[in-house]
Amino acid sequence: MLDVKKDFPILRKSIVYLDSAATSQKPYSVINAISNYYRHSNANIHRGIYKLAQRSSDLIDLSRAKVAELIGADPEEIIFVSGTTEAVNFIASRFRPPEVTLSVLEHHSNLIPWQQSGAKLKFMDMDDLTGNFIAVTGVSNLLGTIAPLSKIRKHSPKALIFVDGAQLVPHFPVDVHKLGIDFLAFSGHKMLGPTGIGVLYVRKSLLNKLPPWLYGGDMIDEVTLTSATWAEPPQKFEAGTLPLAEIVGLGAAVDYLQNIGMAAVRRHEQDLTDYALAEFKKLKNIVTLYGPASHRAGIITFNVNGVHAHDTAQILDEFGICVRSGAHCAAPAVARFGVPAMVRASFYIYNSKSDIDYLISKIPVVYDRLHRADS
Amino acid sequence: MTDYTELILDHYRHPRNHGKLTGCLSATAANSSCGDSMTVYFRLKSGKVTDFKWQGTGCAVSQAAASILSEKIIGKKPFSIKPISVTPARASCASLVIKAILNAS
Repeated sequence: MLDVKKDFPILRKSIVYLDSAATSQKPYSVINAISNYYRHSNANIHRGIYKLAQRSSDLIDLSRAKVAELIGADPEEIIFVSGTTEAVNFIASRFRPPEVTLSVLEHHSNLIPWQQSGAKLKFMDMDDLTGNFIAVTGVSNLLGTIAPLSKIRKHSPKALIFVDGAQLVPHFPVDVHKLGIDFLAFSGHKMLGPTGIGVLYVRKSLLNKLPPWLYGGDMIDEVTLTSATWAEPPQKFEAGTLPLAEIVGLGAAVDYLQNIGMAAVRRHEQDLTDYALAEFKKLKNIVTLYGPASHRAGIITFNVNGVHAHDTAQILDEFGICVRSGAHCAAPAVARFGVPAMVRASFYIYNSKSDIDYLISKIPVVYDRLHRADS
Repeated sequence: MTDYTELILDHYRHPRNHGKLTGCLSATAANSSCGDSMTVYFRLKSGKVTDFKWQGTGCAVSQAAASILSEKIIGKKPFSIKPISVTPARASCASLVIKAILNAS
């Protein structure tokens, strides 16, 4: 098991943080990278003649290269966006596939943009996904279900596949070229990096077919008063000043993860998840578990029987345990289980078996205080 | 500091004035973040509440708030009762019953 809690200053507080699917905590190295950028390297990139601007540009290029390496892409296939949500909106509104097949487990961010794009939507279970354009979450933020991406590719060899990687990239080894996926979106803040920065991978052969997202400075080649041509990708898709410090922070987060190794990250979370599932099963008289019985990401979704999810989360908070409750931005998926809300505990590299033991020890307390037969 | 005071737990376990009225003012309010739903039924005479019942599904806070309000509201104007005081994260739970009354008025 990994032992890295000491690298995360916020975890020195007496909290047990089990909400990393919402956002991850940040190690010193990321916090320092952002702070050092502003102290020593801050200048706008592109066309800066002076050395400081060059240093800043080099740092951005370096982060782009690190992100590319993490997911097995080439640097020009990496487009910086504000997060997964912006990436989905970009592709849904600019690529505009006429028909999109989605899984029934999608997060609202990989559902509403497609609804609004005017595409005809089809919904299928994750294992059965086929179509010409498939938009699927790599890992369900609600249930931890892992999408069989290779199988989906095999079933639809010619389909364009868009993967919402918000819960995938932070926790699993990913190689976009090996998987043969066409688009991959993910957020920096869920993978130890800062908020406000995310990544959209677009397969090289699609980059020139894709129109710009935002128009403005830095994304142009030649400009007259009445017309403009576009810069080469990825600059074509990155109008305006990027969140430079956040990009540098994301680069530091990638370094931190690569130093551990994504296979080791996954192994740690798999051990934790197997342990948590086994411990939760011992409470089966007072707890309902949702989602796959095994082979799932570090996400455990449950309800304490006869207790509303918000009440469970709040009683746990009284013991310093941070879990999320509600519909988890996946209201249609929650509704399939016939409950209004669920509690979710999600893990990352800094969690330990003792965090899970502590959570498990407080579940009977929640039940005893708030269980009501008819609720 | 807990929102689960003896008062709230008592009303949650033993809800007062739970039920339905017919031929009166009625409306439902929902809280989309947690799936809670609350329906109120009440009659007014000269602007004051003469009968009040409620039905709903949801968390302890929203259920107890409706029950507590139902005991105080008879003989008063519909908006004269303050919601129970809870931590900010649960304010929308505590005020769900008020939202329902607002929808009916």
